[in-house]
Amino acid sequence: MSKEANHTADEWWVDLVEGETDPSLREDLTLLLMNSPAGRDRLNTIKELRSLVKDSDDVSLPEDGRFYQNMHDRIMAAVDGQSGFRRREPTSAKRRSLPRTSPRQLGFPALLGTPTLMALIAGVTWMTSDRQKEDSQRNSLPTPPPVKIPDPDNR
Amino acid sequence: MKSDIELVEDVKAGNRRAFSELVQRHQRALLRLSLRFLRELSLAEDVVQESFIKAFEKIHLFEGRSSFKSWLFQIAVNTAKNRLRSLPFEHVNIEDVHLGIDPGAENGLVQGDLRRAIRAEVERLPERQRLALTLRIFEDMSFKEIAQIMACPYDTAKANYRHGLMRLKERLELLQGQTDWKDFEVFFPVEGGRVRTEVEQ
Repeated sequence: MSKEANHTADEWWVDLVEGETDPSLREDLTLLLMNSPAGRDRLNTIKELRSLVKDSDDVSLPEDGRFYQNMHDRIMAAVDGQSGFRRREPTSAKRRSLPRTSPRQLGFPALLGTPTLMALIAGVTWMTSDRQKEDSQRNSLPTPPPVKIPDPDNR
Repeated sequence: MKSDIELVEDVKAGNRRAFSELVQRHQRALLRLSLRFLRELSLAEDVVQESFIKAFEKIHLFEGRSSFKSWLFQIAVNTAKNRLRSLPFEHVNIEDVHLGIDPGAENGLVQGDLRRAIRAEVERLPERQRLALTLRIFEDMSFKEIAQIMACPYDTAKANYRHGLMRLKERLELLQGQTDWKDFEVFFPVEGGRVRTEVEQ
C-alpha cells in the first residue's frame, strides 16, 4: 500500500478508535478487519499509541482542599473588586431608595449644559424685557394734559 | 442541583453565590488545563483567576449555545496562550536534552524515558494539533466540545486530532528506530495483553 493510502486507512482507524466512524463505512471496516491482518495491526497500533499518550500524562494537581478554597476566595475577591458585586447584592424592597445622581455621575455633559442653560435664560429674559417695553409703549394711554390749578391770589 | 446554564442566568441577575458555585465546580479542571500549557503551578493559578474574571466580565455575552465549561475552557486556552507569549524564552542547551535511548536497556526505551519522549513529542506538535490531542486524550472531551473551544468546525477539530496523532506516531516510530510496537508494550502493557480488535471481541 502507498504511503497516502496508509495514511487514509490510519484516519479510518483513528475514527474507529474514537467511535467517530461514519455509519456507511462501519460495515466495510468490519469486513476489512476480518480479512486483513495488516489492518488489524494498524488498528492495534493506534489503540496502543493512544494508551501510551494517555499514560504519559504527568500533570498532578494539589490534593489539599484548602488550596482550592484559597484559590476560590482569591477569585471571588478579585471579581468583587472588579465588579462591585457587593453593591449588586439584592436589597429588601423597603430599604431600596431611589438612585441618587451625584455631580460626578453627571460628568462632562453637565459641565457643557450649565453655560448653555445660563445663556438660554439670559436670552429669554432679554427678549421678554424688550417685548414688554414695546408692548407698554404701544398699549399706553395718552398722557393727560396738565391740570391747571387757579391761583387764589390772582382772584 | 442547578445546572451551569441556570447558574449563569442567576449570575446575570446579580447573584454572587451563583458565580461562586461555578468557580467551585470548574476551578480544578481549569487548573489542570492551564498546567498543561504552563507547567508551573503559580502561573497556572494566575491563568485560572484571570479566566474566571474574564468570564464574569463577559458573562452577559454567553448565550448558552455551547456548554459553560467549553466557553470557560476557550477563555482559559486563550489566556494561557497569551501568558505563554509574554514569558521570556527559556534557553536550553541542546547538549542537555536527553531524548536518547538508555544504552543499558536491552529492550529499548525505559519507562521514564518513554514517557518523557512522548511528552516531548506532544509538545512539538503544531499548536492546534496539540490542543486537539490534549483536550481529547487528557481531558476526555468530545469533538463537539473541542470544536467549541478551538472556535472551529467539528470536522476541523477532528482533523487536527487525527493529524496530531498520526504525526506523533511517525515521530515515535522514528525515535524508536523501528516500527515494532511490541517494544512499547513491554513498558505499557495494555490490559489483557494485546488490544483485541472489535471483530475479535
